[in-house]
Amino acid sequence: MTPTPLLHAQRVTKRFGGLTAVADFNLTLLPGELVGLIGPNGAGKTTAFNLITGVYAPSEGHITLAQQPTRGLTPDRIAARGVSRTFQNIRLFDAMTVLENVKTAYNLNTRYTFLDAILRTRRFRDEEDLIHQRALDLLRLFRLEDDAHARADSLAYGEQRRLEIARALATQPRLLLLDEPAAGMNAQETEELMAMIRDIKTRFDLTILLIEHDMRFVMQLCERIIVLEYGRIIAEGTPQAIREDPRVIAAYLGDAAEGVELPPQEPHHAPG
Amino acid sequence: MLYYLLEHLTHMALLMVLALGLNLINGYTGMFSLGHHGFFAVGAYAAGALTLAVTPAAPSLGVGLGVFALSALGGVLAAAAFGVVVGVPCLRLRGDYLAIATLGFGEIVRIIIQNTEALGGARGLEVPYLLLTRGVDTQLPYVALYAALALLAVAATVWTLRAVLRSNHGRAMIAIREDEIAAELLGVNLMKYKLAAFILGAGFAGLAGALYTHFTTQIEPREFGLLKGIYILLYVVLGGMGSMSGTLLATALLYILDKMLLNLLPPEIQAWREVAFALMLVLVMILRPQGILGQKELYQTRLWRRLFKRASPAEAPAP
Repeated sequence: MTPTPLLHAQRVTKRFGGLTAVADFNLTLLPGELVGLIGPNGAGKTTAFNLITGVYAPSEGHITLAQQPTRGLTPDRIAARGVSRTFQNIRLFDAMTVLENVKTAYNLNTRYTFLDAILRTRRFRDEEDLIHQRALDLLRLFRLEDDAHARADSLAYGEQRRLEIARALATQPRLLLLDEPAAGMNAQETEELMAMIRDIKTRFDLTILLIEHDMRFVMQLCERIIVLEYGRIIAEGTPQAIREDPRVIAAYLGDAAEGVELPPQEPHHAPG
Repeated sequence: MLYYLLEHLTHMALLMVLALGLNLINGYTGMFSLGHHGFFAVGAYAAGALTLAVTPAAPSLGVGLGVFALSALGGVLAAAAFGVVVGVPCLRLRGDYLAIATLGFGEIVRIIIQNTEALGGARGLEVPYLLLTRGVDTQLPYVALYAALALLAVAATVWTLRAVLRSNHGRAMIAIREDEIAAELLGVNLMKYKLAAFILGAGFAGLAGALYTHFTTQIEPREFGLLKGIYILLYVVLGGMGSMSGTLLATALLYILDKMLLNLLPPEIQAWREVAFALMLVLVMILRPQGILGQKELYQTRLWRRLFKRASPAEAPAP
């Protein structure tokens, strides 16, 4: 028996006026999968993320999350159902501290009321202590604990990317969407990031969908890859199959792609 | 002399309560409301109308106290309720549009009051003295009492807002200011928190309004005009959007400056002091757009540390 899909997008189309950003997008994510979404700039990858997280409503088609339709839900409600994400252009709360950035993401699971906060009730103090501990634990995991009280925008670029992932995890998601997590990172940082993603995937029992331009990164990390071009899925399969797919090579390198190589195959890393 | 000081202190403290409430909306949550004087008016008139409705002919001190408390609560709740009424439709708007909608709200409130006979119309509303009568010989205790009440209101406002801002609810508000989209995608319910900021800010404006009514015992619609709203905004912007001590500092500075100019300038050029204020706002925007303290609190500034924390080991440079 096949397991229940965590995310299911069926024939999803998104049009902006005359422009079709995503067309006939089908995606099924099973619990525990690590899937890469690749494609040239403007192919509709981030739009797909925005559709899944409820920033945009699909023009056609529908999306279900653990078999519940998400149509009509605001992004914060979809987040409450277990979807969290990072952003291509980093979106941290700059003026807040690193720690506060993570704490904010516990908002979904905050039970105490305004009145509890004003009267500093036991419930408030207990929950704040718990949030504090958990936030620090996450920062430790991402080696950001030394900067806990620094402003978020004072972090180096790679650290900001890590903080975004830590913050996304604080919502306690089942599905994590990473939008170009390795962008702007050097080779060593990218290597560390890969290990980190594998680690959090098992540790937090996550399903991960990620967009990335770094082919080596995607090929090594993902079990399955989906290729978008002009809003349409042109190929889907294992890294091996994608690497050899002529449509993918054409999409990435133009039709005159003869003799051009995609990154060499790496020894396979066992997932998890 | 003390009498005048306390009188001014009371007015200043009520302005501080107003400005602190607006700072929660504009400074911490990042919205742009221009209608705070409307909530002030609702609180003042609700308290006034309630007082007139329930006060017996010659109230004893106990009854007076009861009516006072009831009307203050009424002022807060009425203003907070208006926060909901205005907030629900308006908070879907952003930036300039929200500013214009709230500005319209403030004007509507004033015009409705002006044309409602039951609220005294343009003549205004007069309420009886409840706690103390302001006679020739009781002037000083009277202003002292209200100065104390007004300062208590400031303290309560600061306490409440600080408690909220240091909780996860306050973090959600600040997160909305920092990045609305990211906040929403991380589970922050935008409408809930924008509305909460609006209700809290409006509620404190209502408190200031109720105290104002009882302190002055006479209120007129023209006191609650747009100019009042702009002054409150000026305190917030000058002090620093997102700094409570900045708001307090700016309110005090501007209030004192205003009264000094009023007393020092010859009557024929007094009207120019408003020009001076406008000019000051322009200069602040050019020279220090983040306001006096920006988003910092006074105790987080370098000057404060130098003055009061010299011996603190935490401040010593790392070896």
